[in-house]
Amino acid sequence: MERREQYDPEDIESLLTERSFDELLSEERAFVLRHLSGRDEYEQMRALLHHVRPDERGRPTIEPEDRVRSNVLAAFRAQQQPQWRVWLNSVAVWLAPRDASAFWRPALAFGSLALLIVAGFVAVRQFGNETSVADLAELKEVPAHEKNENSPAPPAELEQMDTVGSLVIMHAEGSRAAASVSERPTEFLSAEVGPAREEFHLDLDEKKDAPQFDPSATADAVMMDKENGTGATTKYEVNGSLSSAPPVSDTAPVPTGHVVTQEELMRNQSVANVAETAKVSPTRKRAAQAEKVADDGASASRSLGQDPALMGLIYAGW
Amino acid sequence: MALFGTEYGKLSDERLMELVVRGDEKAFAALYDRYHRRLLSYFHRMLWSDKEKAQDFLQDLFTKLATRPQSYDPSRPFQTWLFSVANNMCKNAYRHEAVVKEAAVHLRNGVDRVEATDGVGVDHERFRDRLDEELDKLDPDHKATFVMRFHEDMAIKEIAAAFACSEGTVKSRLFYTLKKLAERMKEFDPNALIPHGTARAIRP
Repeated sequence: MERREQYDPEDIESLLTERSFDELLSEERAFVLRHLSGRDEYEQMRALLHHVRPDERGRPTIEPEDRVRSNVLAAFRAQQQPQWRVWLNSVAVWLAPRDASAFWRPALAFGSLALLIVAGFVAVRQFGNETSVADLAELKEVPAHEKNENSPAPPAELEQMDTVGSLVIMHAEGSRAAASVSERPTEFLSAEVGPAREEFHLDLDEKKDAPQFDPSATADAVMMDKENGTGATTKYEVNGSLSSAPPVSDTAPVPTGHVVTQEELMRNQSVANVAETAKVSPTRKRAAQAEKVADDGASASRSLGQDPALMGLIYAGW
Repeated sequence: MALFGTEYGKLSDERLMELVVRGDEKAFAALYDRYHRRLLSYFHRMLWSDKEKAQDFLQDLFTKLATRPQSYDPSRPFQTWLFSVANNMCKNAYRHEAVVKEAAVHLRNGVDRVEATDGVGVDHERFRDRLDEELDKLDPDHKATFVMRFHEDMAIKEIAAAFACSEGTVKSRLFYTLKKLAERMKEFDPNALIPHGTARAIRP
């Protein structure tokens, strides 16, 4: 019957440690002889093994230097240091270097940063101006029904009062394209026009003989009736005087004292500079009212320049 | 729980490593104090008895531990993991040496020696030098296994864990290393060096 081997070759260390060759059992001796040449080799290995361990005890101990401990502890502290502090330290060293010759780096960096800020500011401002110009150009678009390509050149000077809610004073002198436009709210206009209205009312009779405003040089309240194609001229007069006009207010109905014709509006290209709310809506209202007045057959109509009340008011305002 | 200075010595290696990962400097210092001599001796034996190189390697090892404590695998015993790292460092050192054995012979002349005071001391010193010389000629894995087993007195299981191999492989390496050393050191009379009655129980 074949006996199962009790030891592995790797376990020979335990045999070497515990027993000499003569003390081995028959099975153990057979196992040893299977891996070793004989008794001598076994004893040599046993002697070596027994000698190695005591020899290690007698070895001189090596003490590490103190610098090793301090270095590794310093490395540990550096590792535990917060990273933001490390980053801050590097920034501080960069901003305030010990060597004076190294200051050119932060100086160059900050100079470049300042230049970029200034350039960005200028660019933003430039962009903002372009935007406003675009807005104004958009407002300059005149509705198609108000366009009159056959209208003559605008007069040298035109002062127009908007009885609805705004006073528009436009100057167009010769080739100068500049136009100053002011818009005043209704309340302001009412407060300003009030005294002027009374003054005009008092001076109305006295100035009947005064030189009248040249109708040909001013807006003549003439609108060409192009729809019928006859070219007939229809004059729209201002009915009543300012003294009889209702007080100007936001809620008050549009007075019929003065009607601004489309031709006036066509002549004044600067009307586009006025705010849209103050420009388009009253213009359309006036056009509608003018048509209504025309239908009524205003035989007693007068030209705008011949209206002393209006001219007095314009003079007072001017 | 507050940890006082006296308690660090009672904590296990693994518990100390947990504290090290959390940034406890005292735990790190305790681990250093616990292992620095053994590791220095290991490096000294593995690196051709070069004391300066051993100190540098010791510093590098603990610097790695300080900078990357998360690399420690908590599932493994700390001692095993630490010696496996040390063994890998020694392997790298062997690779970087152009002529390892020549360097070993060269360094052999400058080995730090302890002056013997009597005849027995002289014999032990000669045996020690010869053993180191023969160990340097061995394969690095066999040498490291031998050093861990007989110099650091590590268990077979711990060595196997350090090398990430089976216990049978460790035993086989030890057997053939002993057999080779016994053959090469025939001129020594081992029987004269055997301290009588010094046989002791070995760790399994």
